Amino acid sequence: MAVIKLAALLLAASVCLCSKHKSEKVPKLVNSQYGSLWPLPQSAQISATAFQLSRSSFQIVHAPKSSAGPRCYLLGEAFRRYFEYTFGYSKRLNKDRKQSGAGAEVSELQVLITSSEPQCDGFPSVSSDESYQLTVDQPTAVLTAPEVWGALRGLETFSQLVYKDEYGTLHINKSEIKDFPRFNHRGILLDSSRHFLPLKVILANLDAMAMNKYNVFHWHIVDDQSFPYQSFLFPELSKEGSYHPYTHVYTPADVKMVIEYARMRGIRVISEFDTPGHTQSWGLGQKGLLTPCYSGEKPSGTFGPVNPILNSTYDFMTQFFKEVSSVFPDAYIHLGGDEVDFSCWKSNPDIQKFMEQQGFGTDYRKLESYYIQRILDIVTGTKKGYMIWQEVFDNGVKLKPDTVVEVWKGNALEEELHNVTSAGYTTILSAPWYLDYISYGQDWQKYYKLKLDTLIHVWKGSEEQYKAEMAAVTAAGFQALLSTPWYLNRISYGQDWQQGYKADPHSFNGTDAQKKLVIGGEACLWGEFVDATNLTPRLWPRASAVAERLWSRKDVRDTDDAYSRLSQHRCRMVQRGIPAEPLYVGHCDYEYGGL
Amino acid sequence: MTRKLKLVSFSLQTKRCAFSLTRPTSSSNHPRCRVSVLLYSDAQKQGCFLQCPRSKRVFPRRRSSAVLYRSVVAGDRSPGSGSMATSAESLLFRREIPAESPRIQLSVWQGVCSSTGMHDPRYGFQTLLQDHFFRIQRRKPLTVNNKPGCVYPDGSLCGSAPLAALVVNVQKGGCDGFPDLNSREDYKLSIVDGLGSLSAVSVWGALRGLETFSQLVYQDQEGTYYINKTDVVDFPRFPHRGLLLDTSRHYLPVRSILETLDAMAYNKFNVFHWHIVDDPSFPYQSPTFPNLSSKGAFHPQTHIYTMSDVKQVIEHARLWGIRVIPEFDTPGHTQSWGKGQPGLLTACYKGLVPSGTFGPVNPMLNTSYQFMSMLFNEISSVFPDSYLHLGGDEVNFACWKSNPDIQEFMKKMGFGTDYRKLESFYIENLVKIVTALNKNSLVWQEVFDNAVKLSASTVVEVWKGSCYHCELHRVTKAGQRAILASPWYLNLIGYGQDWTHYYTVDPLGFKERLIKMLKKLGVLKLQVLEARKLDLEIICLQKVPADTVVHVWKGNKEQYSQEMSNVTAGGFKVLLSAPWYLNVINYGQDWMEAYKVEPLGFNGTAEQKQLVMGGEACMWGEYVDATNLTPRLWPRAGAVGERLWSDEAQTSNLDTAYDRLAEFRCKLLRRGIRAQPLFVGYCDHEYERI
Repeated sequence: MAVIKLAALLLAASVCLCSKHKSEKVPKLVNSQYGSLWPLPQSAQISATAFQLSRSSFQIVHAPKSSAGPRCYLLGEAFRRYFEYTFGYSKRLNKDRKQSGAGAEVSELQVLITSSEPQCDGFPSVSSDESYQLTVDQPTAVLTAPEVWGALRGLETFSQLVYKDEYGTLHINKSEIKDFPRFNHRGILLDSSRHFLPLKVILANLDAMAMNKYNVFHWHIVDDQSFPYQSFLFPELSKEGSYHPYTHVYTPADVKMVIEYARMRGIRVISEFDTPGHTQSWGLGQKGLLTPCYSGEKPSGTFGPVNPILNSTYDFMTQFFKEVSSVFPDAYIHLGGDEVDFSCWKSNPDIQKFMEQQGFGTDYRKLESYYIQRILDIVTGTKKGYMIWQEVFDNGVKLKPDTVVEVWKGNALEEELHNVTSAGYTTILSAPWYLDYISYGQDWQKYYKLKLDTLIHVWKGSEEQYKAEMAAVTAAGFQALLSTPWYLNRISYGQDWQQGYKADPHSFNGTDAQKKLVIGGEACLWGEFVDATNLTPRLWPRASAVAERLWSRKDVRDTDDAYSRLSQHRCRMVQRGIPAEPLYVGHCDYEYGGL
Repeated sequence: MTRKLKLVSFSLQTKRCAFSLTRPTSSSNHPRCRVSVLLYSDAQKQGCFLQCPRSKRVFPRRRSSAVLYRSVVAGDRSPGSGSMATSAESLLFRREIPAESPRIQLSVWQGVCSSTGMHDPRYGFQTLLQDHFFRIQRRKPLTVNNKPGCVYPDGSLCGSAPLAALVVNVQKGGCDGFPDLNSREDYKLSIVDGLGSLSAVSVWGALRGLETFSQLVYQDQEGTYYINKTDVVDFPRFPHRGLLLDTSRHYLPVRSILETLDAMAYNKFNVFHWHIVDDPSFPYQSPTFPNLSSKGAFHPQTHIYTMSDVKQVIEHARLWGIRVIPEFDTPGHTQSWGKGQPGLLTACYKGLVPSGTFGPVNPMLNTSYQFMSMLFNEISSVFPDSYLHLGGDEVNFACWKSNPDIQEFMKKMGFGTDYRKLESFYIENLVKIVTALNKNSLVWQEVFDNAVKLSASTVVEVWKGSCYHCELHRVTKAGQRAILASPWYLNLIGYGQDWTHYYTVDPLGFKERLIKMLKKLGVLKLQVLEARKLDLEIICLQKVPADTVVHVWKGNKEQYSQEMSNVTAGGFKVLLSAPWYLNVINYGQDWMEAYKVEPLGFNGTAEQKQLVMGGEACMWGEYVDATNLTPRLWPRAGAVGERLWSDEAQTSNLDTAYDRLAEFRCKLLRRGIRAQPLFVGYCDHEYERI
């Protein structure tokens, strides 16, 4: 996932500078019929008829029949935001300009929310309805959406349809757009542990995410390097584990602000508290949590993963996750579970003893599973769903397959299903579990209770490998989330957005039922080499490519058309204050000025 | 530069006290602040600051470009405080700091102009340096308690007296001048109790010394400024330490350029190579040919550099001791020129008809040279530096080949089908134009390579055929010493004995006569010939001045080393850029590759190595504009900066370089430069803007 050893990075990069201006395959700029729309709507008919827009007369209003009204401040804020995006840069040009008789005008955008539950005060979820329909005509354009989440997406689309002629007058063409996302989970992972990310950067990226119709902010908030999350139950964690206990932490207020800012943009915030590995920084503020490593007979003074044999560990985790689940309103928590290094566990005599007691032999994956299972139980107790990195699944798969059947046979399944469904979670019946209790033989029941809507996050391997992994995960009935081709922290010279654009979450071999289990993907920007100085330009517009893959139809793959739209889209982001880097040679009318 | 001084580059002879500050660990509780943090956790982190005693100390958020060393000093953090204690933390423990501070406290200190060698007020010391002093002046530190001094291991006291002043002693004035290739940048800096002194031959050296001084200053947790007792003797390893920015592929706002100049000075770069125009756009607004930018820029009003922009860049650079060398690359890379200057470019043909597209500059028309002459006349007056970069790289011959007029011309000139000769013909003419303007030329390596590649026979023909003496005579008469002093291209080695077929004099006699003649003409560079024991079989008499600087940019390590070797064997000055294409990015710590480069690592004599003027880090603009330029450039270019400035023996260790560079990038952040991280970690003061 994220830990890339320094040594690996020092591989001599044999760069061939065969040409001063290395020629990449550069897509052609074409005149896209879709203008600058990004990501492309499911269906868009844009006619040649253009209407004018005037700053002084145009309004965004609630439609009379809308179930949301002025009290829906989520929409009110969005109206203001999109009005600014649309007109904010043309103040001077448009102030007194009123072109007489130059054509019809769109003077109003009515926003009609049809559902009786408009969700104004709710939080977006994986099942939120983001569909919308936009009809642009004069004098009134109408945006219809079942819920506010669709309206937010539609407002973004509306703002993208507006363009300026050479006189500075704003125009919008008569259009008919019906749109909905291809995948429900479209995320960006930011890592605030390897480098601390000031709040402003996070908020700016939430803005950029909304411009690209992303709907999940996966906050990899803590890791080995630092623990910036300020817990009110365990303040020592950030006091000791952050880079600096006051300046490099996220206070509860910060976290609230991020969550609310995201909500206003229809973005879920899924926090990740990765255990049992990647927890070095936890140990600084919570003594006794990590496993002491031994060198021979004596403790070496270093620590390994979370100590899975102590009750105190689970007491701590219970309290901690209780806090986390109350702080983060989303129905999912990401529990990590990746890259657990067993060498420290192996060195510790207490752990060895425990392994014997439990009959784990020397298979430390069982110990890991034991730990994970207990964490899952804890989190289940908080009524949250969870996401995990693929290792958790992989470790299971590698164990003996025959036990799988036993699981199926196991009498508890039905009961479990019942439990889970009655607890009010969406469950996917074809997804019966966690594969990794497998070689426990009949013992599994001792350890194992698993929710069925676990989300497996696929992040590793080559193209073949991740496709195989997606196939395996979905064949086992789990929901899958793809990230492997979208590790945007990995950079290379040239137009590398194209690779991300071409990858498809459905490109593996599998049945339709399996493909339905793919709920989306996430672009990941791990923090080894990224902080506030370079995060935004490194992420955008490269993440925009992923956004279109996750939102638009599967057959939207024309790179020339995409390049043309994306170039304009990146200039639009720059104009809105996001320092999105260039795709290739060229210019924007308004260059980035926020140096 | 003169390297006679036997000096140790960048060595800090610091008489440090033999212990470091012991500091309460961050786990010590301070009830008040702890409480306040929890209380104020809802009002963001500032809560603690509001509660704590030194809350009014505000770091300058954004350094305006006018406030240079002032914020430079303000922004430094103590090298010793790598762990936890800063800002808020430090406020808590102010009383607990051990008295044995090993450092000299900077109390009220100020720059003082020493008058030594500065008697003539016309030198205007004020205009340049005082500006800096003004910026350096610090307000009184908040704590002025006289702490007892620390104790050296031998029992003597140290570091008690505040540093009252930094006296800057500059031998020669020249405050109003421009830096050039021969500018003296060496300086000595000495910090003892109560007095700092910085001495330099020229103001340029003083500027470098001020930068060093500012890097030595650090703060303790109380915010008091300190500097260790220090002796620094320093001078650059190479006189040309450049950075190339490309403003054609993307337009860079002037602010971006000025900010880059600031960061360059922090890294002791001294040349801004301004690749100002190229195929994609022509943002330079020429008063002589306004159409070039009005037609050739991305936008004729917003995406151009006006004369005042250019002047501003040049003056800003000058104040930092940075030369501005513009590059107007021809004959290739000129698509954008054609838009505003019809007839300049070669019309490409498809079969027998013009295809409507255009190729390189048309080298056969007098109008081309008239245009170049006028344009370069203007350029040479706008840009004060004695060097112009003429480009000459990557000329695509396909268009020339397709054009029947060019074919005709080739025949007429006897060039056969070798279009490199046509290119050389163009370059020679251009160099003549530039030489006549009293400017020296920088060219990309192709200009050299192509000459090398010309067949031996032609070389001899050039020698025999073109009436060398007449040419010399003509040139000397015209008084163009540059050409005079360098009547050839020495690079044409290894053509074997072929030339004797054409040349009737026996080789030895020829060489002797040649040397004699050249000596008579006052030609330098003979040592090269002699050093190589005259085993060169032939000498090419291309009319490119030998003080032309060849800019090596291509190939892998073997290739560019070979090229360096060839070029210097040819007696040319050389600049290295090949390993420092910073626009090319790789995942990971790619600054290390740039750092490990050894510019003198090629095979060659000591004389050859003398010809290495330095190098340039290049940031080509395909994928870079104002959004990502600064983080992509810094601190990666800092690695190149150190390679070009510092003593190679003292800077061979990547680990120590990592530590210093990581620290330095935090300093850059404090100075408002958006320098990206090297690896996992943090700075006390993170970049807070978007």
